[in-house]
Amino acid sequence: MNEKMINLKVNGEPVEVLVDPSVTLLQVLRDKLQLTGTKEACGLGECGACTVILDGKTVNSCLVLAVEAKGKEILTIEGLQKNGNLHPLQQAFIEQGAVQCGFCTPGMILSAKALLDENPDPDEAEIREALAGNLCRCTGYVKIVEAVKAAARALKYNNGG
Amino acid sequence: MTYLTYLPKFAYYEPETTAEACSLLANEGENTRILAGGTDLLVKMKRGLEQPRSLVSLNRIADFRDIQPAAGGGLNIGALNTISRLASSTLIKERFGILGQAAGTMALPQVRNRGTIGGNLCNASPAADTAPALVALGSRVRLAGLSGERTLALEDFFSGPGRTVLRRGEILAEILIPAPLPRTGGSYVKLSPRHNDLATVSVAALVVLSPDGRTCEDACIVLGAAAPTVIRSPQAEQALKGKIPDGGVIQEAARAASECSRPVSDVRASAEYRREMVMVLTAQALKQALEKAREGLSSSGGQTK
Repeated sequence: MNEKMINLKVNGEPVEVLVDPSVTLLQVLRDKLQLTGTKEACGLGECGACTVILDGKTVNSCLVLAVEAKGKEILTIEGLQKNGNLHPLQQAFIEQGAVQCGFCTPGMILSAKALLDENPDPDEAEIREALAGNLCRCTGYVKIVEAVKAAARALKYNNGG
Repeated sequence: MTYLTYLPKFAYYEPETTAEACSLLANEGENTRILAGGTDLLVKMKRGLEQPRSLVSLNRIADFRDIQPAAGGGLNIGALNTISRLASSTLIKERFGILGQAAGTMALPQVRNRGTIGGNLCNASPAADTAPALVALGSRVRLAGLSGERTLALEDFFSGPGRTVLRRGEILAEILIPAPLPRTGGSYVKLSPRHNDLATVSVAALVVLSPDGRTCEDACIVLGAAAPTVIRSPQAEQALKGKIPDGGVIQEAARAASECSRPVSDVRASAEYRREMVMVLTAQALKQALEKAREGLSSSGGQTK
Protein backbone atom coordinates (compact mmCIF):
# COMPACT_ATOMS: atom_id res chain seq x y z
CA MET A 1 0.00 0.00 0.00
CA ASN A 2 2.74 2.37 1.01
CA GLU A 3 5.24 0.71 -1.29
CA LYS A 4 6.90 2.65 -4.09
CA MET A 5 8.47 1.41 -7.31
CA ILE A 6 11.95 2.80 -7.77
CA ASN A 7 14.37 2.70 -10.70
CA LEU A 8 18.08 2.99 -10.15
CA LYS A 9 21.38 1.75 -11.54
CA VAL A 10 23.45 -0.70 -9.55
CA ASN A 11 26.93 -1.66 -10.78
CA GLY A 12 26.06 -0.43 -14.23
CA GLU A 13 22.81 -2.39 -14.54
CA PRO A 14 19.33 -0.82 -14.43
CA VAL A 15 17.26 -2.15 -11.56
CA GLU A 16 13.60 -1.80 -10.63
CA VAL A 17 12.36 -2.65 -7.14
CA LEU A 18 9.23 -2.21 -5.08
CA VAL A 19 10.10 -0.88 -1.62
CA ASP A 20 8.48 0.44 1.52
CA PRO A 21 9.84 3.92 2.35
CA SER A 22 11.23 2.65 5.65
CA VAL A 23 13.60 0.23 3.90
CA THR A 24 17.22 1.36 3.61
CA LEU A 25 19.44 1.13 0.55
CA LEU A 26 21.54 -1.39 2.50
CA GLN A 27 18.54 -3.67 2.96
CA VAL A 28 17.54 -3.43 -0.71
CA LEU A 29 21.07 -4.23 -1.90
CA ARG A 30 21.30 -7.28 0.35
CA ASP A 31 17.73 -8.63 0.36
CA LYS A 32 16.33 -7.71 -3.05
CA LEU A 33 19.50 -7.75 -5.15
CA GLN A 34 21.46 -10.43 -3.27
CA LEU A 35 24.50 -8.14 -3.17
CA THR A 36 25.66 -9.20 0.27
CA GLY A 37 29.15 -7.74 0.01
CA THR A 38 27.83 -4.58 1.70
CA LYS A 39 27.53 -5.23 5.43
CA GLU A 40 25.72 -3.89 8.48
CA ALA A 41 27.92 -3.62 11.56
CA CYS A 42 26.55 -0.65 13.49
CA GLY A 43 23.54 0.46 11.46
CA LEU A 44 24.05 4.03 12.69
CA GLY A 45 26.54 5.53 10.26
CA GLU A 46 29.60 5.23 12.48
CA CYS A 47 31.60 2.23 11.20
CA GLY A 48 31.46 2.38 7.40
CA ALA A 49 30.89 -1.35 6.84
CA CYS A 50 27.84 -0.42 4.75
CA THR A 51 29.75 2.03 2.53
CA VAL A 52 28.71 2.20 -1.12
CA ILE A 53 29.43 4.81 -3.78
CA LEU A 54 26.34 6.81 -4.71
CA ASP A 55 26.66 9.14 -7.71
CA GLY A 56 30.42 9.14 -7.22
CA LYS A 57 30.48 9.82 -3.47
CA THR A 58 30.82 7.40 -0.58
CA VAL A 59 27.78 7.13 1.68
CA ASN A 60 26.63 4.92 4.55
CA SER A 61 23.90 2.89 2.86
CA CYS A 62 22.36 2.11 6.27
CA LEU A 63 21.35 5.77 6.45
CA VAL A 64 20.03 6.18 2.90
CA LEU A 65 16.38 5.32 2.32
CA ALA A 66 16.01 3.13 -0.76
CA VAL A 67 13.44 5.61 -2.10
CA GLU A 68 16.09 8.34 -1.89
CA ALA A 69 18.27 6.31 -4.29
CA LYS A 70 15.69 6.59 -7.07
CA GLY A 71 17.40 7.60 -10.31
CA LYS A 72 20.89 7.35 -8.82
CA GLU A 73 23.93 5.21 -9.68
CA ILE A 74 25.25 2.89 -7.03
CA LEU A 75 28.58 1.08 -7.01
CA THR A 76 28.99 -1.80 -4.56
CA ILE A 77 32.05 -3.99 -3.98
CA GLU A 78 30.61 -6.52 -6.42
CA GLY A 79 30.85 -3.93 -9.16
CA LEU A 80 34.61 -3.47 -8.98
CA GLN A 81 35.81 -6.51 -10.87
CA LYS A 82 35.81 -6.42 -14.67
CA ASN A 83 35.26 -9.63 -16.68
CA GLY A 84 36.39 -11.78 -13.78
CA ASN A 85 39.53 -9.69 -13.18
CA LEU A 86 39.98 -8.11 -9.77
CA HIS A 87 40.33 -4.34 -9.53
CA PRO A 88 43.88 -3.24 -8.58
CA LEU A 89 42.55 -2.23 -5.17
CA GLN A 90 41.16 -5.69 -4.53
CA GLN A 91 44.41 -7.24 -5.75
CA ALA A 92 46.50 -4.95 -3.56
CA PHE A 93 44.44 -5.69 -0.43
CA ILE A 94 45.03 -9.40 -0.94
CA GLU A 95 48.73 -9.08 -1.77
CA GLN A 96 49.51 -6.68 1.06
CA GLY A 97 47.78 -8.81 3.70
CA ALA A 98 45.21 -6.08 4.37
CA VAL A 99 42.35 -8.56 4.84
CA GLN A 100 41.85 -10.57 8.04
CA CYS A 101 38.22 -11.32 8.82
CA GLY A 102 37.19 -9.34 5.75
CA PHE A 103 34.12 -7.69 7.25
CA CYS A 104 35.34 -4.10 6.88
CA THR A 105 37.01 -4.80 3.54
CA PRO A 106 34.24 -3.99 1.05
CA GLY A 107 33.64 -0.61 2.70
CA MET A 108 37.38 0.09 2.98
CA ILE A 109 37.97 -0.67 -0.67
CA LEU A 110 35.12 1.53 -1.82
CA SER A 111 36.31 4.46 0.32
CA ALA A 112 39.78 3.92 -1.16
CA LYS A 113 38.34 3.83 -4.67
CA ALA A 114 36.50 7.12 -4.13
CA LEU A 115 39.79 8.63 -2.91
CA LEU A 116 41.87 7.41 -5.85
CA ASP A 117 39.22 8.52 -8.33
CA GLU A 118 39.61 12.05 -7.04
CA ASN A 119 43.28 12.01 -5.96
CA PRO A 120 45.37 9.40 -7.79
CA ASP A 121 48.50 10.14 -5.75
CA PRO A 122 47.51 10.56 -2.12
CA ASP A 123 50.02 10.76 0.72
CA GLU A 124 49.56 8.76 3.89
CA ALA A 125 47.67 11.51 5.72
CA GLU A 126 45.23 11.85 2.84
CA ILE A 127 44.68 8.08 2.74
CA ARG A 128 44.01 7.92 6.48
CA GLU A 129 41.63 10.89 6.26
CA ALA A 130 39.71 9.29 3.37
CA LEU A 131 39.40 6.00 5.27
CA ALA A 132 38.53 7.72 8.57
CA GLY A 133 34.92 6.59 8.18
CA ASN A 134 35.78 2.88 7.97
CA LEU A 135 36.61 1.02 11.18
CA CYS A 136 38.66 -2.20 11.27
CA ARG A 137 38.92 -4.31 14.42
CA CYS A 138 41.49 -6.78 13.07
CA THR A 139 44.36 -5.26 11.15
CA GLY A 140 45.46 -2.08 12.92
CA TYR A 141 45.14 -0.28 9.55
CA VAL A 142 48.85 -0.32 8.60
CA LYS A 143 48.53 -2.92 5.84
CA ILE A 144 45.32 -1.31 4.64
CA VAL A 145 47.17 1.96 4.10
CA GLU A 146 50.02 0.07 2.37
CA ALA A 147 47.46 -1.62 0.12
CA VAL A 148 45.97 1.70 -0.95
CA LYS A 149 49.47 3.02 -1.71
CA ALA A 150 50.25 -0.11 -3.73
CA ALA A 151 46.99 0.18 -5.64
CA ALA A 152 47.71 3.83 -6.42
CA ARG A 153 51.09 2.84 -7.84
CA ALA A 154 49.55 -0.02 -9.85
CA LEU A 155 46.85 2.25 -11.30
CA LYS A 156 49.44 4.85 -12.26
CA TYR A 157 51.58 2.16 -13.89
CA ASN A 158 48.62 0.79 -15.82
CA ASN A 159 47.61 4.23 -17.03
CA GLY A 160 51.16 5.17 -18.01
CA GLY A 161 51.87 1.84 -19.72
CA MET B 1 17.12 -11.32 6.74
CA THR B 2 17.62 -9.88 10.20
CA TYR B 3 19.36 -6.60 10.88
CA LEU B 4 20.67 -4.82 13.98
CA THR B 5 18.69 -1.70 13.24
CA TYR B 6 15.32 -1.00 11.67
CA LEU B 7 13.38 2.12 10.80
CA PRO B 8 9.78 2.40 12.01
CA LYS B 9 7.23 2.82 9.23
CA PHE B 10 6.11 6.28 8.10
CA ALA B 11 4.27 8.07 5.30
CA TYR B 12 6.78 9.46 2.80
CA TYR B 13 6.44 12.57 0.65
CA GLU B 14 8.84 13.95 -1.91
CA PRO B 15 7.55 17.39 -2.94
CA GLU B 16 9.13 19.03 -5.96
CA THR B 17 8.72 22.65 -4.86
CA THR B 18 9.36 24.59 -1.68
CA ALA B 19 5.72 25.69 -1.53
CA GLU B 20 4.58 22.07 -1.69
CA ALA B 21 7.04 21.11 1.05
CA CYS B 22 5.91 23.91 3.37
CA SER B 23 2.30 23.03 2.74
CA LEU B 24 2.88 19.37 3.59
CA LEU B 25 4.80 20.28 6.73
CA ALA B 26 2.02 22.60 7.85
CA ASN B 27 -0.78 20.14 7.16
CA GLU B 28 0.69 16.80 8.16
CA GLY B 29 0.61 17.62 11.83
CA GLU B 30 3.09 17.84 14.64
CA ASN B 31 4.76 14.47 14.29
CA THR B 32 6.21 15.26 10.86
CA ARG B 33 9.91 15.58 10.16
CA ILE B 34 11.97 17.00 7.33
CA LEU B 35 14.32 14.59 5.58
CA ALA B 36 17.42 16.14 4.04
CA GLY B 37 20.65 14.16 4.46
CA GLY B 38 19.08 11.91 7.08
CA THR B 39 22.29 11.44 9.03
CA ASP B 40 20.75 12.78 12.24
CA LEU B 41 17.08 11.93 11.73
CA LEU B 42 17.42 8.32 10.60
CA VAL B 43 19.84 7.59 13.45
CA LYS B 44 17.33 9.00 15.95
CA MET B 45 14.55 6.94 14.38
CA LYS B 46 16.62 3.76 14.56
CA ARG B 47 17.38 4.45 18.21
CA GLY B 48 13.68 4.96 18.96
CA LEU B 49 14.17 8.62 19.91
CA GLU B 50 11.89 9.81 17.13
CA GLN B 51 8.91 8.11 15.57
CA PRO B 52 7.53 10.51 12.97
CA ARG B 53 4.23 9.73 11.33
CA SER B 54 5.44 11.34 8.11
CA LEU B 55 8.69 12.35 6.48
CA VAL B 56 8.82 15.21 4.00
CA SER B 57 11.92 14.79 1.88
CA LEU B 58 13.53 17.94 0.47
CA ASN B 59 15.69 15.96 -1.91
CA ARG B 60 13.62 16.50 -5.07
CA ILE B 61 13.59 20.26 -4.57
CA ALA B 62 16.02 22.05 -6.87
CA ASP B 63 16.42 25.14 -4.66
CA PHE B 64 18.88 25.85 -1.86
CA ARG B 65 21.87 24.07 -3.37
CA ASP B 66 24.00 27.03 -4.45
CA ILE B 67 26.96 28.75 -2.87
CA GLN B 68 26.74 32.27 -4.26
CA PRO B 69 28.79 35.40 -3.68
CA ALA B 70 26.42 38.12 -2.46
CA ALA B 71 26.42 41.74 -3.62
CA GLY B 72 28.69 43.58 -1.20
CA GLY B 73 31.16 40.75 -0.75
CA GLY B 74 29.28 38.31 1.48
CA LEU B 75 28.32 34.72 0.73
CA ASN B 76 24.93 33.01 0.49
CA ILE B 77 24.85 29.29 1.15
CA GLY B 78 21.81 27.21 0.28
CA ALA B 79 20.71 25.05 3.22
CA LEU B 80 20.71 21.83 1.20
CA ASN B 81 24.45 21.98 0.51
CA THR B 82 26.27 18.98 1.97
CA ILE B 83 28.93 19.39 4.64
CA SER B 84 31.44 17.93 2.13
CA ARG B 85 30.67 20.69 -0.30
CA LEU B 86 31.26 23.31 2.38
CA ALA B 87 34.55 21.69 3.40
CA SER B 88 35.90 21.66 -0.15
CA SER B 89 34.48 24.93 -1.51
CA THR B 90 37.17 27.37 -2.67
CA LEU B 91 34.74 30.29 -2.26
CA ILE B 92 34.47 29.41 1.42
CA LYS B 93 38.18 28.64 1.85
CA GLU B 94 39.21 32.01 0.41
CA ARG B 95 37.47 34.40 2.78
CA PHE B 96 35.37 32.36 5.23
CA GLY B 97 38.00 29.77 6.10
CA ILE B 98 36.71 29.17 9.63
CA LEU B 99 33.54 27.63 8.18
CA GLY B 100 35.40 25.26 5.84
CA GLN B 101 37.63 24.34 8.75
CA ALA B 102 34.64 23.55 11.00
CA ALA B 103 32.93 21.51 8.28
CA GLY B 104 36.09 19.45 7.82
CA THR B 105 36.10 18.42 11.49
CA MET B 106 32.72 16.77 11.29
CA ALA B 107 32.00 13.06 11.46
CA LEU B 108 33.15 10.86 8.58
CA PRO B 109 33.46 11.39 4.81
CA GLN B 110 30.38 9.23 4.22
CA VAL B 111 28.30 11.29 6.64
CA ARG B 112 29.63 14.60 5.29
CA ASN B 113 28.62 13.51 1.78
CA ARG B 114 24.94 13.27 2.84
CA GLY B 115 24.50 15.59 5.81
CA THR B 116 23.44 19.15 4.99
CA ILE B 117 24.30 22.48 6.59
CA GLY B 118 20.58 23.13 7.03
CA GLY B 119 20.14 19.83 8.81
CA ASN B 120 23.13 20.47 11.08
CA LEU B 121 21.67 23.83 12.13
CA CYS B 122 18.06 22.62 12.49
CA ASN B 123 19.14 19.61 14.56
CA ALA B 124 20.47 22.32 16.87
CA SER B 125 22.80 20.20 18.93
CA PRO B 126 24.72 22.51 21.30
CA ALA B 127 27.80 20.65 20.02
CA ALA B 128 27.14 21.28 16.31
CA ASP B 129 30.35 22.32 14.57
CA THR B 130 29.10 24.67 11.87
CA ALA B 131 27.10 26.79 14.33
CA PRO B 132 29.99 28.44 16.26
CA ALA B 133 31.84 29.17 13.02
CA LEU B 134 28.76 30.70 11.39
CA VAL B 135 27.86 32.77 14.47
CA ALA B 136 31.46 34.04 14.62
CA LEU B 137 31.09 35.13 10.99
CA GLY B 138 27.98 37.12 11.91
CA SER B 139 25.66 34.95 9.81
CA ARG B 140 21.94 35.33 9.36
CA VAL B 141 19.46 32.68 8.26
CA ARG B 142 16.55 32.96 5.85
CA LEU B 143 13.49 30.89 6.70
CA ALA B 144 10.83 30.14 4.08
CA GLY B 145 7.24 29.39 5.02
CA LEU B 146 3.74 29.47 3.64
CA SER B 147 3.14 33.06 4.69
CA GLY B 148 6.45 34.32 3.29
CA GLU B 149 10.03 34.60 4.45
CA ARG B 150 11.83 35.94 7.46
CA THR B 151 15.50 36.53 8.20
CA LEU B 152 17.15 36.54 11.59
CA ALA B 153 20.57 36.34 13.21
CA LEU B 154 21.75 32.75 13.55
CA GLU B 155 22.33 33.31 17.28
CA ASP B 156 18.59 33.91 17.65
CA PHE B 157 17.68 30.81 15.65
CA PHE B 158 18.52 28.38 18.48
CA SER B 159 16.14 28.30 21.44
CA GLY B 160 17.53 25.39 23.44
CA PRO B 161 19.28 22.02 23.06
CA GLY B 162 17.79 20.50 19.91
CA ARG B 163 15.29 23.36 19.54
CA THR B 164 14.97 26.18 17.04
CA VAL B 165 12.46 28.93 16.36
CA LEU B 166 11.28 27.26 13.16
CA ARG B 167 7.49 27.35 12.97
CA ARG B 168 5.39 24.53 11.60
CA GLY B 169 5.48 24.73 7.80
CA GLU B 170 8.79 26.62 7.74
CA ILE B 171 12.08 25.42 6.38
CA LEU B 172 15.58 26.83 6.70
CA ALA B 173 16.37 28.03 3.19
CA GLU B 174 19.66 29.87 3.18
CA ILE B 175 22.56 31.01 5.33
CA LEU B 176 23.67 34.58 4.67
CA ILE B 177 27.22 35.50 5.62
CA PRO B 178 28.21 39.18 5.52
CA ALA B 179 31.41 40.38 3.88
CA PRO B 180 34.36 39.96 6.23
CA LEU B 181 36.30 43.08 7.19
CA PRO B 182 39.83 43.32 5.91
CA ARG B 183 42.50 42.02 8.29
CA THR B 184 40.14 39.31 9.59
CA GLY B 185 41.37 35.90 10.69
CA GLY B 186 39.35 33.04 12.16
CA SER B 187 39.96 29.59 13.61
CA TYR B 188 37.76 26.77 14.91
CA VAL B 189 39.27 24.50 17.55
CA LYS B 190 37.50 21.39 18.78
CA LEU B 191 38.16 18.83 21.50
CA SER B 192 36.69 15.38 20.96
CA PRO B 193 37.38 11.86 22.26
CA ARG B 194 38.39 10.60 18.82
CA HIS B 195 39.18 12.14 15.44
CA ASN B 196 36.17 14.11 14.22
CA ASP B 197 33.95 12.83 17.01
CA LEU B 198 31.12 14.90 18.42
CA ALA B 199 32.66 17.94 20.15
CA THR B 200 33.27 17.71 23.88
CA VAL B 201 33.95 21.43 23.72
CA SER B 202 34.69 23.78 20.83
CA VAL B 203 35.61 27.41 20.26
CA ALA B 204 35.30 29.59 17.16
CA ALA B 205 37.38 32.77 17.30
CA LEU B 206 37.33 35.56 14.74
CA VAL B 207 39.59 38.62 15.13
CA VAL B 208 39.97 41.84 13.16
CA LEU B 209 43.29 43.67 13.38
CA SER B 210 43.77 47.43 13.26
CA PRO B 211 45.14 48.88 10.00
CA ASP B 212 48.69 48.89 11.39
CA GLY B 213 48.24 45.29 12.51
CA ARG B 214 49.23 45.97 16.10
CA THR B 215 45.99 45.89 18.03
CA CYS B 216 42.89 43.76 17.95
CA GLU B 217 40.15 46.05 16.65
CA ASP B 218 37.31 43.59 17.07
CA ALA B 219 36.74 39.99 18.08
CA CYS B 220 33.99 37.40 18.08
CA ILE B 221 34.35 34.39 20.34
CA VAL B 222 31.73 31.64 20.19
CA LEU B 223 31.58 28.54 22.36
CA GLY B 224 30.19 25.15 21.34
CA ALA B 225 29.07 22.33 23.64
CA ALA B 226 29.53 24.68 26.58
CA ALA B 227 25.93 25.83 27.14
CA PRO B 228 22.36 24.82 26.18
CA THR B 229 22.94 26.55 22.85
CA VAL B 230 25.92 27.99 21.02
CA ILE B 231 26.88 31.21 22.89
CA ARG B 232 29.08 34.20 22.33
CA SER B 233 31.34 35.45 25.09
CA PRO B 234 31.04 39.26 25.15
CA GLN B 235 33.34 39.44 28.18
CA ALA B 236 36.11 37.61 26.32
CA GLU B 237 35.55 39.84 23.29
CA GLN B 238 35.80 42.97 25.46
CA ALA B 239 39.09 41.73 26.95
CA LEU B 240 40.61 41.92 23.47
CA LYS B 241 39.07 45.01 21.88
CA GLY B 242 41.54 47.80 21.31
CA LYS B 243 44.37 45.93 23.03
CA ILE B 244 47.66 44.56 21.77
CA PRO B 245 46.89 40.82 21.76
CA ASP B 246 49.90 39.54 23.70
CA GLY B 247 49.98 36.36 25.78
CA GLY B 248 48.56 38.06 28.87
CA VAL B 249 45.61 39.59 27.02
CA ILE B 250 44.85 36.28 25.32
CA GLN B 251 44.90 34.47 28.67
CA GLU B 252 42.52 37.05 30.13
CA ALA B 253 40.12 36.59 27.22
CA ALA B 254 40.38 32.80 27.57
CA ARG B 255 39.58 33.02 31.27
CA ALA B 256 36.60 35.28 30.61
CA ALA B 257 35.28 32.84 28.02
CA SER B 258 35.61 29.99 30.49
CA GLU B 259 33.73 31.97 33.14
CA CYS B 260 30.74 32.63 30.95
CA SER B 261 30.37 29.00 29.86
CA ARG B 262 27.54 26.93 31.39
CA PRO B 263 28.39 23.36 30.39
CA VAL B 264 26.77 20.14 31.54
CA SER B 265 28.39 16.93 32.74
CA ASP B 266 27.73 13.99 30.43
CA VAL B 267 29.31 10.84 29.03
CA ARG B 268 32.00 12.82 27.23
CA ALA B 269 33.18 15.05 30.09
CA SER B 270 32.36 16.70 33.40
CA ALA B 271 31.23 20.32 33.54
CA GLU B 272 34.47 21.26 35.36
CA TYR B 273 36.61 19.72 32.64
CA ARG B 274 34.62 21.45 29.93
CA ARG B 275 34.96 24.81 31.65
CA GLU B 276 38.72 24.31 31.92
CA MET B 277 38.95 23.24 28.28
CA VAL B 278 37.02 26.34 27.14
CA MET B 279 39.91 28.34 28.55
CA VAL B 280 42.55 26.19 26.83
CA LEU B 281 40.76 26.10 23.47
CA THR B 282 39.92 29.81 23.47
CA ALA B 283 43.61 30.65 23.87
CA GLN B 284 44.51 28.24 21.04
CA ALA B 285 41.77 29.50 18.72
CA LEU B 286 42.74 33.13 19.35
CA LYS B 287 46.42 32.49 18.63
CA GLN B 288 45.54 30.72 15.38
CA ALA B 289 43.03 33.41 14.38
CA LEU B 290 45.57 36.17 15.01
CA GLU B 291 48.16 34.34 12.93
CA LYS B 292 45.70 34.06 10.04
CA ALA B 293 44.77 37.74 10.32
CA ARG B 294 48.47 38.71 10.22
CA GLU B 295 49.06 36.42 7.21
CA GLY B 296 46.26 38.23 5.41
CA LEU B 297 47.91 41.56 6.19
CA SER B 298 51.33 40.57 4.95
CA SER B 299 50.23 38.77 1.76
CA SER B 300 50.54 41.02 -1.23
CA GLY B 301 47.35 42.39 -2.70
CA GLY B 302 45.19 42.06 0.39
CA GLN B 303 41.68 43.40 0.43
CA THR B 304 40.78 46.76 -0.95
CA LYS B 305 37.60 47.40 1.08
